Amino acid sequence: MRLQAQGGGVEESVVLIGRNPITVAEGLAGLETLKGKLTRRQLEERAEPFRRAERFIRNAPAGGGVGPPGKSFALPRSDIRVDVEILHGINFRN
Amino acid sequence: MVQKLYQDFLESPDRYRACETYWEQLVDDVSKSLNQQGEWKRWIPRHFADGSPFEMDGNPIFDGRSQKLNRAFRIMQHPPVGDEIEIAAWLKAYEEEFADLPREELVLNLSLSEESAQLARELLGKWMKTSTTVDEMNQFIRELLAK
Repeated sequence: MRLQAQGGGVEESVVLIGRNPITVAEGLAGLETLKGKLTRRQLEERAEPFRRAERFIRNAPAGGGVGPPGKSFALPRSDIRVDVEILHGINFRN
Repeated sequence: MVQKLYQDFLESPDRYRACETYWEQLVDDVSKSLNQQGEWKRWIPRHFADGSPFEMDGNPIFDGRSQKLNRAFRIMQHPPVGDEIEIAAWLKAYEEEFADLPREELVLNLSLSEESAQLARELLGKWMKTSTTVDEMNQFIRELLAK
């Protein structure tokens, strides 16, 4: 599992390694870690992509989790985005 | 001002499917022009692990993957936010250890208009061409979208 903030000159990522599957709590914590790597401005312009990424993770258990490749949440007409990359397995089951 | 298409694609399942069909036909046209009919199959699941569907939110509206090229694309469509051409593109890479995933992926993020569709057609055509390298594609994206 890899969480990334990309585009607009930013390339930051957090790799979640550990128990398989990754839980919702671990995913959300990973997003918080990723946020911590960004400046206030970078975080402000990615507020909406982060919100959508969090929603995607929170909604996953109701559907039994999600598998690869995950989703990319971008600003309209822009490459500024937050990626939830699911590289293998079904994750966010609970 | 651009000629917008399917602005209402999020308003009903019927309009959403019509928009998907638009992309399916565009991709089919491109693949036929490259003698690759049937080579690019949809690859991104549209449902959760238990089979319940993802939201029909345009993310992605269409996607394709060639097993032969070990390469893929996804098209993320959002409603228009202005009257200009709205499109961005980038490449993603996946490490070889993740065997279920393609090695590289072209991602398009756009609102649909006659003009953005033409750019998407050019980007997809370049990416789907067997001889195109990642470096060439990155340069093509920069040059095409800088115009």
